[in-house]
Amino acid sequence: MVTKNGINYLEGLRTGDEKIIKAIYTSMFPKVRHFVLKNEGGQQDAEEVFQNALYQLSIRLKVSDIEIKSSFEAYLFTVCKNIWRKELNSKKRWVRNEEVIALKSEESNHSEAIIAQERWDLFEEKLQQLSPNCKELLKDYFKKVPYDRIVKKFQYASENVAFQRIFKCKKRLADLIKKDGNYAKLKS
Amino acid sequence: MEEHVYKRIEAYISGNMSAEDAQQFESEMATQPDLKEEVALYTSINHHLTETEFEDTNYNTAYKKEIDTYIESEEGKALKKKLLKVKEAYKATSQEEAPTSKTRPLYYILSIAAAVILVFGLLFTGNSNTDLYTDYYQSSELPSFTSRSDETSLLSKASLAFKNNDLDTSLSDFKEYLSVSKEIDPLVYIYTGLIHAEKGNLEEAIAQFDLLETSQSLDNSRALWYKALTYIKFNESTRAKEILTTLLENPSNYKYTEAKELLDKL
Repeated sequence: MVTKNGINYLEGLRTGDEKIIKAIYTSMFPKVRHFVLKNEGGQQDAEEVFQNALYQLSIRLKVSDIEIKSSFEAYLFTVCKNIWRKELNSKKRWVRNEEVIALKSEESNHSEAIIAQERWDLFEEKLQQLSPNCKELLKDYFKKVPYDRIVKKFQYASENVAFQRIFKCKKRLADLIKKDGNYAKLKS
Repeated sequence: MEEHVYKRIEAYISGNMSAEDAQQFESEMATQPDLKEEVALYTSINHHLTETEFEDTNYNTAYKKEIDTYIESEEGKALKKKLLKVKEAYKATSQEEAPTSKTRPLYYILSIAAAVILVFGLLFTGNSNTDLYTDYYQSSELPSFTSRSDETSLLSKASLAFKNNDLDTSLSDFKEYLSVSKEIDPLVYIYTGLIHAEKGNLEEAIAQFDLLETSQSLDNSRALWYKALTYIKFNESTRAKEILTTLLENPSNYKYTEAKELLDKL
């Protein structure tokens, strides 16, 4: 996958080409930094997120492979967002003291983040395979749009019909995920 | 899976089950691996769709071991070192580059600034407000018309053209829809408004959003949101602030929380 400026970032990462990896920094780090700073993080956090994202992607390229459907830039940004979201969640849980978090080794942190990201990719791929109607419906449902508004918006006969439709859309998504050969590998 | 099983799974996941039922359900899971797996999958799907939590699960699988082995290998360690080295190199150069611009003559900077203002001024982009516009404008949130059967083909054709940035086709398709339909969907005006905005026609864009705002649609507050974004796009912060203030009068309005945030930033 070659980008606008003719550099194949993914190949560069696979072969560990320092020039290309630096080019990835130049083109993408400011955007990720902006995102982390806007979301309760600092410069140090941004650097760690970016470094971890590149590290985890490199490992995946060695151990299995990565198939990117969008652009490399967009994908890297998604990975960074997920890493930061996970970090924020665990910080919040730590503050709320909801659970005792067993200290994990650094390797485990990385390998679990890698698997979680691969699962995320799989779920997203299957979600995109649903009909536009199903996608929109599930999105509204999870945004907690009240049933009566869903009924109006999608012109269903009743709330029960809306419920049935949500059930079918979710089931379809679940079936698509289960059918994928990679799902078994990525289960906990 | 049967619907009644699904209902129980959802109730269990969301915590809407009595303690007694939950206990019963857990003992069923203990003896039925399929059910247990189904619960795990639906939990994951819910996580994925709410987007609020990125799953934090303990994996203990062959695949995880494979990854861990790589991380601990010499190659894995070397990889980590190399990435750190690149990071340091990047930090060094990005800090070096910043001060050099200060040494450039003033006229040089001014001429660039003038050129930038000229080019971006024409395109209605290129200022900090544009960042706000791109931060808050989400094409994925545009209404989808696929569920409506009547003029669906025309509408989906029109919105598809919009997504593909073929504004002229999109506009003429929407116009056709508006002229042939007995009962129109006022959400269409979001698209026609955005098209006019993209074409640089602020007044016409606002007029389209007005049509949505004054319609009987349940979603008419969306008009306020898109008006505000459009004013931002055209760098009319004062107007944008006015609209956002109106939007904030009613907490059930579309994008209430975002509007608050956006107003603060302006």
